[in-house]
Amino acid sequence: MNAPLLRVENLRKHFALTKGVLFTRTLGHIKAVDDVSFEIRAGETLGLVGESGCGKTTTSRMILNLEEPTEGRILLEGEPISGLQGEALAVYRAKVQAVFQDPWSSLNPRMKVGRTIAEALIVNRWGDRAKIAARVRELLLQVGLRPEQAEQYPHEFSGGQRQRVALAAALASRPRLIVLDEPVSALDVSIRAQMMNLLKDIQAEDGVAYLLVAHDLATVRHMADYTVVMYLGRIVEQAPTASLFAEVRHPYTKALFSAVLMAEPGRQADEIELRGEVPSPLDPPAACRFHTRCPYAMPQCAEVEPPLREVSRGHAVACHLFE
Amino acid sequence: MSETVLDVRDLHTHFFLRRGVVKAVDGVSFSLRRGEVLGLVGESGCGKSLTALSLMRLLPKGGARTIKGEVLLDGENILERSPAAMREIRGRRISMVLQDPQTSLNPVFSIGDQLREALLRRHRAPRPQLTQESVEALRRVEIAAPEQRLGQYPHQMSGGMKQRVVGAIAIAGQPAVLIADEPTTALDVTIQLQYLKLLKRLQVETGMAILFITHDFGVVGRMCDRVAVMYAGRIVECGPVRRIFEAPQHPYTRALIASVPKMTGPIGRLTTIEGQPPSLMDLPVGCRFASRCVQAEPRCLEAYPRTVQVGREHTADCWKVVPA
Amino acid sequence: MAVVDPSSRASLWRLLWPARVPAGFRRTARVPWIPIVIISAIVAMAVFAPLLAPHSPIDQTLRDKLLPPVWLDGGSPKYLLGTDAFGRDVLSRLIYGARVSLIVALLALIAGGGIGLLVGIVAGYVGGAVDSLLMRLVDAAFTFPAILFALLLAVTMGQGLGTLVIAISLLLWASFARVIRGEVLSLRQRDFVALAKVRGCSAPRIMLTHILPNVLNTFMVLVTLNIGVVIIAEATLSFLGAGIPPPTPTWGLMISEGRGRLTDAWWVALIPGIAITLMVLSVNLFGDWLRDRLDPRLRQL
Repeated sequence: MNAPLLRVENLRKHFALTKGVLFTRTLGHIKAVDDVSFEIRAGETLGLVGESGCGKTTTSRMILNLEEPTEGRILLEGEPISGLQGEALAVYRAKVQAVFQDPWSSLNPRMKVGRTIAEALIVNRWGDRAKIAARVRELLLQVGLRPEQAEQYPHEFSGGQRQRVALAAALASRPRLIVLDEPVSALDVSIRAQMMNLLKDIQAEDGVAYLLVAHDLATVRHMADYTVVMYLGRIVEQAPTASLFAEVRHPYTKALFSAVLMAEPGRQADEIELRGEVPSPLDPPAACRFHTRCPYAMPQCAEVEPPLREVSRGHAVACHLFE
Repeated sequence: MSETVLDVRDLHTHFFLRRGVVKAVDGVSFSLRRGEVLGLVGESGCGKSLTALSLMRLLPKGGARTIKGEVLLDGENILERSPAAMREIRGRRISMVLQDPQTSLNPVFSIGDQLREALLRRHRAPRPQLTQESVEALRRVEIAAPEQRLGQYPHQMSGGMKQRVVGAIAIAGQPAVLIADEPTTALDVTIQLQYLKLLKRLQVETGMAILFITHDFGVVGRMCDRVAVMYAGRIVECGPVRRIFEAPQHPYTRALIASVPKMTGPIGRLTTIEGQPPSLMDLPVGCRFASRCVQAEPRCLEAYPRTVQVGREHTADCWKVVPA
Repeated sequence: MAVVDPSSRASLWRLLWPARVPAGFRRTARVPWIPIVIISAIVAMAVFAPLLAPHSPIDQTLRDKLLPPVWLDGGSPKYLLGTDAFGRDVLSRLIYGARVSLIVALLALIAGGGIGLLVGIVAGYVGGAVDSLLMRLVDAAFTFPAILFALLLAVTMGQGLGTLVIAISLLLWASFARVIRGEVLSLRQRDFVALAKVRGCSAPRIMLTHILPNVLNTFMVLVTLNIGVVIIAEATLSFLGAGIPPPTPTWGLMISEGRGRLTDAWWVALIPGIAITLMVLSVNLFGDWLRDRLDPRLRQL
């Protein structure tokens, strides 16, 4: 096994919920991410799955150094990223890039797309004007756009094309890891497939690793080598994607799978419908956080927190059913 | 049982802008039977939402006009009714649920106020009775502790809960037709499943017909009896759900279904549809999908294809399909 | 150019107002030609004052004092709009007065607007304690009696262009800062700002290349809408004697000088009054149109 590109160790992020402007008082802490560990290997895709509020986006923002972890460490190639400053931070920024969900908000409307793509190169003084222009042309071609489109503004592009521009901008500094936060969910079905194919092609060419944050299991199945399922800030199940899709263990993951509506009528067999809604992360249930909605809940689920335990090679589940 | 409740014939709604005419809905025909769920599927900009707004006669300001066609609700063309008569029809005979529960509810009124107002449109009744009925309405959409919810405001509820309230308001007037425009797109998957099941149950209980607008074939498979596929302002294929999934006839439908990532089967390259839909301001004379169609031939570019009956209740607009 | 963007999200508004049409052009009101002509005429007057003015605006010809405009009995074709109590040509003073009004407006808007823009961007982007501090300062500026302050300034620093510009800038910056900050707060939430950080941009760089260009429209609208405010402020201060000292002609000063003779020589005060009204009305109408064109969000202002 080669060394991991990125390691996340016991990551926690608690947001203080405050009231008042001048004399603030803390009402409580939202445990957005609570003890999360995983690793991403070079050239691989890790899928981070869960519903809104599960902490997947907060996790990705900590990896992007946009949020400071409350606890825990993030290591890129063995080096911790907390407290990076100046040159070291610039190096990290060049290695870890991002594409976000909303193609309408991802591009500065007043900036030519060529300039947006070149941004990371300009900031890092990567080369002179001509060299950067050549790299921008190369990137546009790589994502399936025409080089002369560098001179256009975002409003001249469709959503799918904008998402390609965003990808080209992320690729500019030849990163080792790209955080893809719901990269296709804002796109139309036919455009979505184009984008997914493009992402896979680029990974095959450049060997870049992806952290794919997504809610759509079918997308994760097609893209990810390894899948992590989160619920209320915790990892409930993680496994190689093929293993996970072959045998789903955790009741929450099962519920997620049965909520996937297949484009095949009458194929909804053993459906688990969850009762109620996700509890507030301000006051999450004790012990197993899923026990309030779990159809298989046992008395101990409300008392003892189930640890993440390996049930088969690489496949770990946090559930008392698998002890 | 197969009584038609809503019959839309050759509907044209265009935007008249300074720069030209945007033919957003350009010859849409379909019918909806009592107690049936018809899916209207298509990608953004195909005109599906504008079709719904045309039916409600709630066209956005800024040059949109329905210039042609008939919308027969129980045999009566509602496009010819006066605005006052239309207000009576909306909510009572035809109602609507929109995508974003956030903007569907008025943030400054309590849930109870908004429900009572909706119920008042059904019948005049004293306030305590309306309150009692509001509690019933919330119970029907499976909201726990409805008495306490009445005094709450929209911001105190989750997205799924709000969408249930929106549903309760929409069906308060016992409409014969409910138009649901992407009602679950803003919801999480497990909440989506709950909502769809609820909607289906209510539909079976009340016998109302639902026009379900979505871009998601998964939702279609779960909810609909029949499905109409829209492309660039027209319905290109319409048929029973099972037929559309198992034997789609129009090349667009086929490509669209193929491009959805699947939960089973081999993981390979996804099928894509190359190119972009045509500009609605400058539509081609021929088949609108021809420029992206892998099977296109010269005649596809020359004239818009006739509507072919390809099976029982199954039609497709394509030169290449074989009539049944 | 496709009108409907096919791959954008399923949003009705995307369908109706295609993203390819720049935001400002959606509801284009009629171009306000009359205000544009009036503004252009006044600007031309100011720029070409020495060429246009038939007389000196300062030289007194006491022999010709208080002549009415040419269309009234006793009017002289030599003085089209009549003369004032010192026999100075009202038309020439009006033409030169436009100069002072516009220069003051320009300088005060550059200074006051510029400070407001800077404060708004920094407060909105940096946030936290910096934001709180700057915004309390803005609140304080709003509660300040600006006219009183200007009078105080005139007393301590002496009358003059500099005093006038400083006084009016202090009146302006806070409202600029407040609107711009609001704009920046919503811009800061946009993904391209987070992505700029991910690309390695520093905070000053983000403010300069990502935030500033996106608030310039709003800024321009604010500038236009405030021209009227500045002209009135200048007139008020000059009227009160805290503006440009006589005999330099300004519109406010002209009204002030003609005030005592409204019954027998109304034209001395009324003509500059009409000029101010026309100018302010025109820039406001033009500003309204510009706001609708460039920034629909500012409509409630």
